[in-house]
Amino acid sequence: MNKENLKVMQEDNLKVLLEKLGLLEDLNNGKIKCKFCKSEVLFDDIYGVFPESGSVKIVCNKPECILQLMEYLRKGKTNK
Amino acid sequence: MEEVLVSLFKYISLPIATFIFGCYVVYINPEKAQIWASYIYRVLSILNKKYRVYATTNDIEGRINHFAKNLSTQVIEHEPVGVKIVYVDADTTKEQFFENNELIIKMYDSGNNNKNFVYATMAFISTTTLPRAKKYISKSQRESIDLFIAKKLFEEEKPQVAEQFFQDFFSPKLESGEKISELIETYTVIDKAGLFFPIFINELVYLGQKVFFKKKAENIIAEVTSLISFLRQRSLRTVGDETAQSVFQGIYCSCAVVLVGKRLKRLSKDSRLYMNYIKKLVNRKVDSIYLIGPTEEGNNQFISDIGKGIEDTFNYYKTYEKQCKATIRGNDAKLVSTENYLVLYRNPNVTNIIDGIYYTENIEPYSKDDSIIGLSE
Repeated sequence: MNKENLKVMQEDNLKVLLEKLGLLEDLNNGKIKCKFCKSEVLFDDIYGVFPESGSVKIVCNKPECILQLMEYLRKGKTNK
Repeated sequence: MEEVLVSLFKYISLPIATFIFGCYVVYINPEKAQIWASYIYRVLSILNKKYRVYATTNDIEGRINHFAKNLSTQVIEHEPVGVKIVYVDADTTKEQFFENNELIIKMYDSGNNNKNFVYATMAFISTTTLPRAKKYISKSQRESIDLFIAKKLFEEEKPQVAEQFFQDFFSPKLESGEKISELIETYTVIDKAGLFFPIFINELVYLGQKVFFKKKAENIIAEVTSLISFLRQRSLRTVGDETAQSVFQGIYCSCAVVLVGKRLKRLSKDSRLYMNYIKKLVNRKVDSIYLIGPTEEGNNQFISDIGKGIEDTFNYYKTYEKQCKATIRGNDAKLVSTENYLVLYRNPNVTNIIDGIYYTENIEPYSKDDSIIGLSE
């Protein structure tokens, strides 16, 4: 069976990565917004992160945003 | 198999025989083995927290891959795609993050394993289910299919997670969009009649294999909507109801679903009664002809006879046959469990590149034809 990789990160490790990306402080101060719904995102609200055009995009765990993310990724895969 | 097992335990010591048998089970069913492994790691994690990661990984992978494998038995053209959970560690640098250019999903620590399962599954299903067909269908059709398939996965593979899914995804999405709610309700109806995966999803796979030079998106979406409506109508019919349409014929979804069910015709065992309008379907160069009918009173043989006629007369070839459980309405409108026999015949000359010439000759003449919705017998 062909398998698709699904990259995941444990919470503690994600915090380390966000610090390296220079986002942890802003995240703790409520300055980071979800790519799709534009609402404030705290660490507990994060669904996933991905790079785009040199910056880091964060997606919150609202169902609508997750589905929008999947649609966004689907279009991205199609365009490759 | 029994004889092999008996020989195994007769001539080899019990521990070795058990080990060999265990290896065999792991080999033929690695997904089940992963699920069992997750239980073992869960127990070990009580002693050492590092095993939690292995427990979560094996649980998610095993269940999703088991579902994907089962799906391939229901959707003939489905090449099973599984998932591999890759943990990104804390050593990842900023440069590596940008270079890899991939989504990273947050995994909750233990205590939230249901959430991890749901979130990982949604990512997997959304990106691997019908990737090509999704180019052609509407957003609500895409989302509703993903949600329905996810629901099936959770209900079949890990029912205790289903509640988390309903709470986090399903209910909020249903409340936000009436169209999606209606579609999912329809899929449930179609699935109960055993038609969702073998016909609807299968046809979307075929649709995804096509390239339309002159694509009219709204026409394709409308036709998929019509196919859904037709399958819903078939699924809700009462046993003995001979007024409902029994044939769907599409252009973009180039398929025909022929119900071999009318009792008088079945009992007559005269396949010519069906061959006449199958000939019309063949003349319109449909790619797929599904024959479906109840497995009673020798109907399987009758369906096979019709199929033999399709093969011999029109050179279509049998691709798939399956007996599938269905729940339909009995004469007293109560739901009854039954079994259907489904056979798929494919046109040996399927055209997947739909260019201008093909469109003009084979699609445009029929694009305004009401018969696209279905023909009554």
